[in-house]
Order: sequence, then C-alpha cells, then structure tokens
Amino acid sequence: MHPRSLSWLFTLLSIVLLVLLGGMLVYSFFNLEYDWDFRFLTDYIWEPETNRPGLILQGLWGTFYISVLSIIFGTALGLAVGLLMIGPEPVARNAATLFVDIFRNTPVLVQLYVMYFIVGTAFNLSPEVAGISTLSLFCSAYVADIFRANVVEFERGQLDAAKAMGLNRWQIASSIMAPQILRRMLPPLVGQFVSLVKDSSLVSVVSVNDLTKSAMNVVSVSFRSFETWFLVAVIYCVLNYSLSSYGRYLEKRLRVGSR
Amino acid sequence: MDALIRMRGVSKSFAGAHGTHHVLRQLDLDVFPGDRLCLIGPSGSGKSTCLRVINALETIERGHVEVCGLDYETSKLPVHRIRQHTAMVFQRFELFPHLSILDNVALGPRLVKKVSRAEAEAKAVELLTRVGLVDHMRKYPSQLSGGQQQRVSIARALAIDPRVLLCDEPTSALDPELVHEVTDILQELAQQGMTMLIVTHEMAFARRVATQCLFLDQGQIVERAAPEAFFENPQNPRLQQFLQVIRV
Repeated sequence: MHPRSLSWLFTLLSIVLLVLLGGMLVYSFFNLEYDWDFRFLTDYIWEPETNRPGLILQGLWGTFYISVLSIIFGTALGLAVGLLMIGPEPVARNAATLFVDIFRNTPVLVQLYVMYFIVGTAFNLSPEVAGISTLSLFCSAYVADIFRANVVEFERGQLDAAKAMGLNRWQIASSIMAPQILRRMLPPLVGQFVSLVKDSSLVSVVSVNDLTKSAMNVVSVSFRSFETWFLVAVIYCVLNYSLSSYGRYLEKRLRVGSR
Repeated sequence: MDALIRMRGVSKSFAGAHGTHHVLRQLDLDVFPGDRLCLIGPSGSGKSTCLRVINALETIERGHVEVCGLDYETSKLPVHRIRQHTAMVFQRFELFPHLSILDNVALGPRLVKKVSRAEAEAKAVELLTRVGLVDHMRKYPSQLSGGQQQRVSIARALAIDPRVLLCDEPTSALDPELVHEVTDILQELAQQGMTMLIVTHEMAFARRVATQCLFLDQGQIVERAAPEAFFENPQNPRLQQFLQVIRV
C-alpha cells in the first residue's frame, strides 16, 4: 500500500495519543492538591549568608567532574581492552572478553558496592575514587565492545586495497582504519556517555557529593522533595542534552565525505 | 629478460559445502615486462584468486610466487615491501571514503614512497589530469559516479609507480554506458607500455588491449594465445564452448 494514503490517519492517531497522555499528566498534577513552590530553591543554588555556591551547585560540580573523569578513563581503558579483544594473544583476548561480559551484565550498583565496601576497605579507597573507578570500568566495557564491533566489521575491500598498495600494518591502522572507525564510534559513544552521566547518580549511595546526594540533603532539610527532584531532573536533562547536541554537531562535521 | 611475476605450481583450495573446491591447480604463469595478459574464463575458474595470490591477499597451499624476483615465502623483505612492486584495481573500486580524491591518490606516494606532501600532491594532480578528473580532486569518492571512481582508483594504483598493474574485473561493477571511460584509460596505459594483468569479461576490450589472452578453467591455464588466434581459432574444446556461449 502507498504510505501516503495512511498519513492523515497516523497524524490523527498521534494527536489523540499525545492529548491523552498530556491530559493524564495534567490531571495527576491537579489531583495532587500540592502547593507548588520553587522559590526556596534559590537559597540552595546560591547561599545568601555565605555568598557561596549552595548545595545544588556543589552537587552539580560533583556530578560534572565524576562524569568527565569516568568518561576519560573509561574511554582510554575501553580502547585498550578493545585492542586486546581483537588481538592475537588468546589469554589476553579471553580475559578481555570476560571482563567486558562481567561489567556489561551486572548492575552498576552492585559493582559500586563491591568496589567501595570490599575493594575499597582493603585498599582504603575514598568514596570518590571508588565511584570514579567503578564508573570508568563500567564505561570501558561498553567502549571496548563498540570498538571491537567496528574493527571486526570494517570492510574487507578497503583493507585489501590498502594492503595491495603496499601499506604496512601500522599505516593501515592509522591512516585507513582509525579515522573511519573513530567517526563511526561517535554516535554509540555519545549514547554511552549520556547514560554514564545518569548512572553517576548511583555514587550518591556511597555518599559522594554529587547532584543526587545534594538533592537528598536539600530534601532532608526543606521537606520539599517534589520541587527539588524536579529541578534535579531538569539539570540532568540540560547536561545530557548539551552532551548529545555536541555529539550530533561533531558527527555532522566529521561526516563530510564518508559514505 | 627476467619475469616480473613468476608463479610456479601454485595450488589453492577452499573447504566448501560440497567438499574441497580447488581454485588453483598447479598453476604456472610468467609475466614479462611489456606483457598485457587478459585472463578470461567462466566464473569460479580462479581468475580473481590468481590476481589476489600475486598480491599475497590470499595464501596458497603449494607452489611459489615471485614478484620482481622476490619470493613471498623465502624473501627476507616483509610482505608489504614486495607488494609495493605491483598495484591493483578492484572490481568495486575500494577507494577510501574518508579521503578526498586528491588524498586517495596522494596517499600511496606519501606513505609508500615517503615523498613530501607537496610532491605527492603534485604527482596526484598529474595522474588525475591523465584520467581526466583533476576538476573533481576536492570531492569525496561517494560524490563520483562508478566510472569516475574506477578512474580514480587507476590513478591511485599508478601513483606508487608499479612495475605491473593488476586489474580484477575493472568494469564489471559499472553501468554499461560507463564501461568505455575505464577501458579507454586502460588502453591508453597499454599503448604507453604498462605491464598489465587483467581479469575481464569484456571480450572486445581484451582483443584490443592484450598481447596474449589466457583461458582459465578449473584452476588451470588451458590455453594461451595472441588475441587473434585465441578468439578466431581456439584449440581447447572448453574455450571453444565458452566463446560460443558468450557470443549468443
């Protein structure tokens, strides 16, 4: 069937669904009979007495530096693990694969508990170090797998052309594969980084002062949890939206010429 | 005169669904300077494999392959250094999509010949002028037609100054009206004395360009003759049959 003949029906269906969902949400808010008041939050963003950043801004900084460090370490480690996964050394290859499987198939929260309460106790790790290590390891498992998949699926024809030209292995890797693979890895990587920023909220359970931990503190003194969590959600959303927008921008700028 | 390519007793087989498939059986082949050999044969006869073996893109089970006197197996040089004496044009062009046309052609001189970027680009411009695409040199492969991409890939192959040009069905992936773009250039190269080994299904082109035509069947060269004799007076019954079928 020609797709155009159905389009008005789909448009109508979409509108009905959106109105229904929006209606439910609006109804829920009114039904709550809650006295919304966001003004008190300004004091927690910037403390008027000391004239210093408040809990929320401190937490935002915590989330920011934990995420950035985890992304940097996770990417570096992930590329190294990915290289082992495609390498010729069987022990290293199987170990790398096992590492990736373990970290991808267990909850981050459990990993964090193990890192902080078991490894952390033995090696005297601070909550911040334990949090960043866990997130880096978790992130690296995904980065490694994204890298491995892109290398394995690289077109044979291009490799043949590069070999036939007389390039050596290092030249093929650096001039032909790396530029294209890094470009293709970007969209899934950005998606991974966005979920890492969200997962970073878990470090609050080992009392790292991130945005989520700050929000808990604000709630415990102000007793206004709805407004606080609402603001925190908006901040996470803005953080991640800027991250993915930057990713899209890079993707567009790098796409020139690639098929 | 020494052979540029010398293949002796080359055998290769693939394990397939219906037992072992012998792609090359005890194949002997010499290519001397100035030779323009066209490899012709039914599909699965081992033509492409033969070219790929010369470039060490395929491993072999028995026999020897020498390029410019260097045996892949016994030479102390690494494989990529031996490959630098030959260049290959592929059926599906295989240009590097992330590089501009200019960079595609300049890459070989820069990395293989180790010349400066400026020198490599000057050479690329010269070669792109020769294949009539110098106006497109800032574009990327995906912006060109199939015929244009194949001409770029010929320029890219020539850029490393190969002693032998290997062409693996260079026109098979092209729209019929674009075939002559590519054959014209290959013919021009032939007139300039380039040594070539071409796998092709374009019989008219083979006739025009070849010094000798070779018929491959079941991994062996069963007939080798000048084009005139090859097409007008074939000796091997399988070649006779093959020519009859494609003439219909």
